[in-house]
Amino acid sequence: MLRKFGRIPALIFIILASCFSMVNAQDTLPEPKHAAIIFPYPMYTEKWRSSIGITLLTTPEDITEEVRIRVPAIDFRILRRISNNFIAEGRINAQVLQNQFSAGFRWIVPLSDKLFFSAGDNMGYWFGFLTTAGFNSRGSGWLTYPNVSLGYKTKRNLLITLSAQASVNLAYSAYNGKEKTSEEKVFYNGETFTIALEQPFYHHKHLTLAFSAITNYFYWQTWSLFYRVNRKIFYPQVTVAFIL
Amino acid sequence: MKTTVIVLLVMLSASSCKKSYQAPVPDFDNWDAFDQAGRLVLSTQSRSAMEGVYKMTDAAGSFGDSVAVKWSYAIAGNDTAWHLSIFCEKDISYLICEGRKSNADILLNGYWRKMAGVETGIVRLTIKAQQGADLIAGNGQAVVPGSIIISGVFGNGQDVPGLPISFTYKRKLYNKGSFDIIAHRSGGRTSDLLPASENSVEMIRKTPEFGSTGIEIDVRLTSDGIPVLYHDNTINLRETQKSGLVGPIKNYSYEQLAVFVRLIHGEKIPTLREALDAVVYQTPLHFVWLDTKYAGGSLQVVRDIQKEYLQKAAAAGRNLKIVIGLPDTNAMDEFLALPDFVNTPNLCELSLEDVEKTNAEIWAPRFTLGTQNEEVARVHAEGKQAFVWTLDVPDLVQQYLHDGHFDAILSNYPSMIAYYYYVQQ
Amino acid sequence: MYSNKPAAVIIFFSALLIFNARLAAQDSTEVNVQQKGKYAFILYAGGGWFSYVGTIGSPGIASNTSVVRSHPIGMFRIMWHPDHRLRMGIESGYTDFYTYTVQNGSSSGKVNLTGIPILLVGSMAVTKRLNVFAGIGSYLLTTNLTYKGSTRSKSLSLGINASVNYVQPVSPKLGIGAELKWTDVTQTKDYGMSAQVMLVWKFFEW
Repeated sequence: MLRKFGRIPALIFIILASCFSMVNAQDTLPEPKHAAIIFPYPMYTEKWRSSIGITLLTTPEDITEEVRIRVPAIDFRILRRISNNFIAEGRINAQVLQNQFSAGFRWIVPLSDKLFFSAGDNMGYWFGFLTTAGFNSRGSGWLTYPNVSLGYKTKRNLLITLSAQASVNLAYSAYNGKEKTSEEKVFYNGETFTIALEQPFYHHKHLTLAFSAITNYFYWQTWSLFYRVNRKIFYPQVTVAFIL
Repeated sequence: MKTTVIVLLVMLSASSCKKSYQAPVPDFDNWDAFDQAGRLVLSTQSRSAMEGVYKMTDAAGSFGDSVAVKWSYAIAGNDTAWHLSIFCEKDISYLICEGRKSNADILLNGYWRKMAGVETGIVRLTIKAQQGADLIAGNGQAVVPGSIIISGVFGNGQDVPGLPISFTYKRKLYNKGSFDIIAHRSGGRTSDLLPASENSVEMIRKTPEFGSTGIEIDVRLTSDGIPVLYHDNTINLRETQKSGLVGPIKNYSYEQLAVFVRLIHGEKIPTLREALDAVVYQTPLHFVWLDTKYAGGSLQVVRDIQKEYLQKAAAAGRNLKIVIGLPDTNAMDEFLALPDFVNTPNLCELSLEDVEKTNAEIWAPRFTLGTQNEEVARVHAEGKQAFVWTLDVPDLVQQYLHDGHFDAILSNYPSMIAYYYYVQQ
Repeated sequence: MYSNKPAAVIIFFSALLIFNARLAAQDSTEVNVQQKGKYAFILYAGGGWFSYVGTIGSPGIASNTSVVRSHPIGMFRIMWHPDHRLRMGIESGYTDFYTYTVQNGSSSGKVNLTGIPILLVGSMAVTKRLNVFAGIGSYLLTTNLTYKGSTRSKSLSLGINASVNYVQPVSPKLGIGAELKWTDVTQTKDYGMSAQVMLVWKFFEW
């Protein structure tokens, strides 16, 4: 049942069943502005938070064959406080030939002084172009990413986040020259599970280290190599970013 | 408690990981009636009469409304094995069956596969005497719409088949004369989970079942100058079983590869000679596209083998075309360095000017450049052919068949090309 | 085709994570003194024994006459220790993965696979003396094949490693340690465990 109906509802159930009642948490991070981007921490004082880094993923060898390692994508994230617990977020993944912009929100719930929960959704637009070696291709599309996160703040400055994100394709189109080669509408695309560590690195600089297990039918970074196949493909992704 | 939550979440994450992605051909050798049936002997005319476009009356939801039915063969030793392929509309699916005779009925036993995914299963079909078997056997009557009904059951995976399937003859297969369905890498890629490895002799023997009339194969040289079939530059786990050998295949001698390396399904890396032997003597294929993937070496050894097997094919009464493919300017320069390039059959993927420079018989542009009808017309006016590659999307295939004027399509899904080509009217 | 590798990778990182979380939640005084306000470059140089865990052999030959799974291993690592828990560095070294021999009729052959890791490594001190490391990068693999001639062939493959070590200081700048490491060349499915002793030298501090 879990496999068929998705892990997201089960995750939410477990989180809600296992957690403490909601508390009104105090701001206990030593330097919250610099400390948490992925970690679901409320924004009590500052208006903005941001980070810049890279993501790197590998593609399935049986499909992308010898084109295995992708150039890292620049990963810029920004958070804007709407209220203590309601945050707007934006993200830019730039890889030159293909890029994705996403924006959305998250609602943060402190469960205790150490445990934090968030739920949200992002809308992403990606586009790519390939105009060399006999290709005259371009593609673009829209996806939505509903997500939940559970964060654990250790006694030290280490913030641990586990998050689960679904991906739903809303629109896709690809062209060769003027000819439309494919088009897709809405379909459920897959899931991403992420483990993130955020902690101080040097001076006041905080670092995000994250590993994401992406299992999607279609992933925008590989749009030029193949369109979606009728099975989910596993993409391991590493993120390293400095919180600004 | 918190750690418990984390562990639970992690376990859920881990549980999301799928098992191996495979599409094994089910074991269909357990149909008693078929095992006890006699050998099916059909004349060429009978087989041809049975081939056609059929309307699916049961199982249209699984396979589509129409199917194209066609025979193919492969020769092993003194035996010729005939297979009936049924190419379907939906999900790039096909059925492949062997035939036997049981009293006056024809029994067809085999498997089905959907290439858009990994679904597969067993299929058991019957043509009753009064529903076409007598007609096929040659009772003097003409094959007309409705005169042949093929019916039976199919199942999922290794399950005993029980779902009804039937299709009724509608009309002959479309045949404009000379159109080739060329299978990429001799039949398809490793990632397509076919029952044989890409670029293998086993795949070459199987590819006619998938509807191929020709193949494209990738040629590389070993360190001792033996042309072998292998796509990637390096020995890797995509194409081969683990052996401890890494790095470019050109670093190893043929004997080393023959002893230490096996393709993903256990086959040896074939030499070009072994591959062309299979084509000439074991299959009905009539086109071979040699995609030479090595740079900086001479094409002479490939040219010599090409010439040798064209002669062998002619001696065997086979209508076979073998062309050297020129994918880039480096390959073209090496080709032009051959002393008799003018008389060397070749296929040029570059510009029309390069087609003239190399005296190519075939121009083969990438599909991303469109149907290019004007250019194709120019090529035809010069008595040459035009092929297009690599078309794998059903909508595009229909578009290129309907609006384009190419003489062949190269695809990883020859069964899909076969369906859309043969059902045309 | 994907077996349970994604599960293994996730469980590996999660185990590392949980281990860190539990130990990080302990007494916060258990931190290396050198983290407080000083930066340092630390050299780890070690050697030990590697044991190959994956499958070995030639699929073309029914049986291999001999398989050697254990070989010496050497490594060096330069880490930057800033003023917090997380450290970053680079690691390299030499790993002899395995050797096997085959007999094909009257001819014999031998295959030896070695690797040089080139990894970006991160580490955290979980107690005063205990550190965990995780690396990601490439392995320069070399096949030495002897069969009717000799062939040496190289390839760059993606890989990861993870290790835990214990360092005992012997002077303000020197320490000796022991390390257990898991090496995984993911692209070629070559993996194994090693145990090493090492010298730890803080060669620059500011």
